[in-house]
Amino acid sequence: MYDNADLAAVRGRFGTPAGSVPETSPEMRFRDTLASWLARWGVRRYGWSVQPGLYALGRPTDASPVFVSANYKLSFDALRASLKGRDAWLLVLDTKGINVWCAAGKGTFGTLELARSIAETELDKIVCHRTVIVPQLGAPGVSAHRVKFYSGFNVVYGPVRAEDIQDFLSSGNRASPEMRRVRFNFADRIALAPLELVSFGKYLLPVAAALYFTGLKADAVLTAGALLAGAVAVPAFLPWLPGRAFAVKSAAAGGAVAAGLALALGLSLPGAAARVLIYSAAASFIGMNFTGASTYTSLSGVQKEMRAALPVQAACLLAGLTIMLLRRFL
Amino acid sequence: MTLNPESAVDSENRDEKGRSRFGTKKCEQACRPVSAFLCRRCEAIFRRIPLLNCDFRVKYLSGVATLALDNEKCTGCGMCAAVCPHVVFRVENGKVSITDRDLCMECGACAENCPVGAVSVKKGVGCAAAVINGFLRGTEPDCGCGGKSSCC
Repeated sequence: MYDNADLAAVRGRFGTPAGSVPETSPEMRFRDTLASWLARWGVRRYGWSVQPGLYALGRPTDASPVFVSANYKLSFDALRASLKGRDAWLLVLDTKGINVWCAAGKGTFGTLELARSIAETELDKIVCHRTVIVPQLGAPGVSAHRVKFYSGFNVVYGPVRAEDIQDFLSSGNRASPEMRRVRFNFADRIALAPLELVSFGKYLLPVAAALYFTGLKADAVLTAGALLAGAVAVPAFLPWLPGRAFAVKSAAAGGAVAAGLALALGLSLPGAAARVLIYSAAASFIGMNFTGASTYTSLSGVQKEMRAALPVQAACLLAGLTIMLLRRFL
Repeated sequence: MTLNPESAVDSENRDEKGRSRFGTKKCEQACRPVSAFLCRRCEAIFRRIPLLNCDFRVKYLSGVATLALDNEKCTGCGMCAAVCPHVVFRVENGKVSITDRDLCMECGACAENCPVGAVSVKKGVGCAAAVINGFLRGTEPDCGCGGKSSCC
């Protein structure tokens, strides 16, 4: 569907003192938008890698800036699209098709990989300056002083978001405090909802279908409701949901959805109570996984949250199921 | 709690006179959404709703972050402040201090980039799936995540 040159929007070769490099364009084509859409929905989840190496954008000279990126198509596209009207070199590291921040967390977007790429592409022969601009979110994997030691190149940390690059360049490679801060706006959060929906939906939608065909129609609806609460309502309403722990926020969202659906379906009070227990526990578990997609949760915090939340979720599930069984047999 | 608009708005979201920038043009400019999700039109709609678009600093659990700063070793170079995505560090008069440890997400950028080893933090991904994976495999937390734009 997409070949290597297509993934990187390569439109030719560009001659340099160290041999020719692929030339890419800052234009976003329909194919690129489609690719980002597919990737967001989890299609070909690991199939969006751009060929690592050096790329030319515009008509770069030996004085043009060098931008470092990951070989994940969405990262690469964000970078090249934000460099419209500029001449630049793009140095794409081999991060196994994973975005900058994740790869930096694992160290694949890292000091040694950057030093190796600089040496391999013979960057010192191509540019006369000794500076590479690394996205700030690459910093967890890159140690600026060690890159300098290994390669002779200075690392300048660029802004968090590629869209701020033009302002960054205009102000003499300086990032304002606002450019340095990661955010988690509604648009950022809702963009992550499809993948949450896909990763849990592939288990829960068959369960809902099975419940529906075994006559438990109310529970089929409630299962779908818990999925939507945990995978869509949690990202959408994250700042407004009560509590700090994601398990608490998600239990609130799931409880509200389950209570609303139970009311709409006209369930009896014990039946509704059982359902609220079961489906808020399910939504809580689903929503807890959104910690991984969020931009502000720490490992220590997630471990603490999970130690407390998992037993409570299990207990609520058991309590709900017990109520339903007792009602059936008593 | 997480979102009381008055208290959650930090100083950066206020102008010189302490008025909130919410809903003002300045805010809209400062809070552009990162990427289109479904279509450009959706993005344009989100862009016009300041409440959705503006950034609330939501805090995670307090008192858990493992971040530590050794004032003896610190030379005040400010690299930690430059790489921190959550403005945890403040550089003043050639010395660095921690503003609010609870904002730390333990990404490890500061420790990695401190040339004198004055910052330490137990680096990790704040990801429940990673914790479960690590528990099941008996390893350190590890998310096997791939193409997600901001996973882990």
